[in-house]
Amino acid sequence: MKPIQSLTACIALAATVAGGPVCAQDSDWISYRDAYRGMVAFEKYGKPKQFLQQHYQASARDGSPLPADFKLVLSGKTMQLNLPLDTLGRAVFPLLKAAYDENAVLAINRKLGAYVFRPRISIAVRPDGVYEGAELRAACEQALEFQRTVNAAGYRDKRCVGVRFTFAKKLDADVRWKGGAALPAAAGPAFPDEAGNAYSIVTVRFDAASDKGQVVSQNAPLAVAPVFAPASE
Amino acid sequence: MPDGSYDMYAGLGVRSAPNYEGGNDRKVRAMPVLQVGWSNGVFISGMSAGWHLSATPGVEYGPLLSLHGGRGKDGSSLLDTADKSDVGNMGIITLPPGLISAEASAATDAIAVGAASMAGSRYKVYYHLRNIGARAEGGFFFNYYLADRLRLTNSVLYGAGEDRHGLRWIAELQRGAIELAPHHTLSLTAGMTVGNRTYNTGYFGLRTEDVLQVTPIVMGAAGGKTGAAPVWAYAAAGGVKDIHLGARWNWALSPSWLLTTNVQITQLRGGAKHSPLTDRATGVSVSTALAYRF
Repeated sequence: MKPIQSLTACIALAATVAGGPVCAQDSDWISYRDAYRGMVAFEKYGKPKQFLQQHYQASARDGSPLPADFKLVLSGKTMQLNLPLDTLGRAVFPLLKAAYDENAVLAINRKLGAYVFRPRISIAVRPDGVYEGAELRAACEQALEFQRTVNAAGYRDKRCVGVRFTFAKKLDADVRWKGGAALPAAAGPAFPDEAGNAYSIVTVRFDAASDKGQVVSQNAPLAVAPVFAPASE
Repeated sequence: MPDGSYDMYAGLGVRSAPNYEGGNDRKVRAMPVLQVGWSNGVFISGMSAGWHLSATPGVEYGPLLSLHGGRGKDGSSLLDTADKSDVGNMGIITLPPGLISAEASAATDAIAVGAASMAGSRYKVYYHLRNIGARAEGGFFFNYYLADRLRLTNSVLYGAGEDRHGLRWIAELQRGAIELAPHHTLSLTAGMTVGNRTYNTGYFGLRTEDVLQVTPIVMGAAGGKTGAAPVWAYAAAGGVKDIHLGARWNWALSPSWLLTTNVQITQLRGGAKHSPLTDRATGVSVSTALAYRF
């Protein structure tokens, strides 16, 4: 059956990679229906989520950045749709009844084994780089509340402790409370549940005073992620 | 899923299992597989159909309908009916501990023979296995997620057994979708089935009228001829009917084709285990099927 899998992915990729090598030997697929099941929960979620955004994320299991030519293509009987990925491997996931009914696939030009695919919740990046402390806390709480909805047991005992700003380079990682010094940057993954240390991350921790302050990021981060910790910490 | 959509697997496979629960003989049968979920929450899963009504995360519940397979000497399947002739439906009797004889005679023709020690005497007991047709059961299910992909499932169903008053409760701990490798997942189940007295006796009891003959094989304590054979029957008390372990391996061969393989080990307990009809308390069923995802 492997040739059939490869063929599916090849056909999908051939339709979108104009002029490039149309069929890599390494290709694989993910069921769109299975991915849809994971992604639709956020769409249907009825509680506040205005500070949040959801993507479908592909990431290397070892935490390294995705290869530059990594492709994610929605492929069905009547559709071929390239899903552009951002630096962190995130794509806007189209919720399409037609794709569901066709039992479409998400084709990739790599073997699945080294990658993990998941719904990814993050906090929306502000164009002006200025974040109200109270809003960051509210955003984290919204994310936690949503995660409890999809995985009650896994997040029941968690609480919000801060947010993580992620940058491609250490030079860009200038995040500070307004009027304060730059917060320390460290090497790490963009999201706390990922591996590796490919990025420069700055963790903004909540404290009693933070709700009244503002956080300023001099450069646009790749992502702003909620940070949870066990309630006992 | 999108409104108006569904997700369906349908296919065909083979299953090797004991002819009936507790039976010694096995049979390989063709086995259709069907699993459907609709956007309104209605689902079909194997021989059960239900309706997801819960809007609460981590909790699933709703009404459940099920078809309980028929029971007969030559197999237990929905295709078997109680109308089949009882001729030949004899099985080897095994009496409760203390009543068992290791000297059970070999079965001859259609009549199986066991040996019973009762009131100081031992008897060969001839009986026939009553056929029970397939039964429709109604009830409900309630599932609770203890963690991600780890859930406690319960289903309570009424309507099985010859008189259709059997009640059973199946409680299981299920660990779903462990990814073994890309496109290969494993699900594990450990559970138990609890039956009321009617259910347990329905499938594991022996009625007096089904005991065809009880023949003494050892003289009584007085050394003389044994008197009339005792009137004998067996009723299985309500309680735990079995404990079981299951493993299901799903291999997504392609976006459309799935190979699903299941192994289940069931150990009868209590009154079912000690039933005269039970030749083998631990049964293994194995199945594999190829299904298409529509």
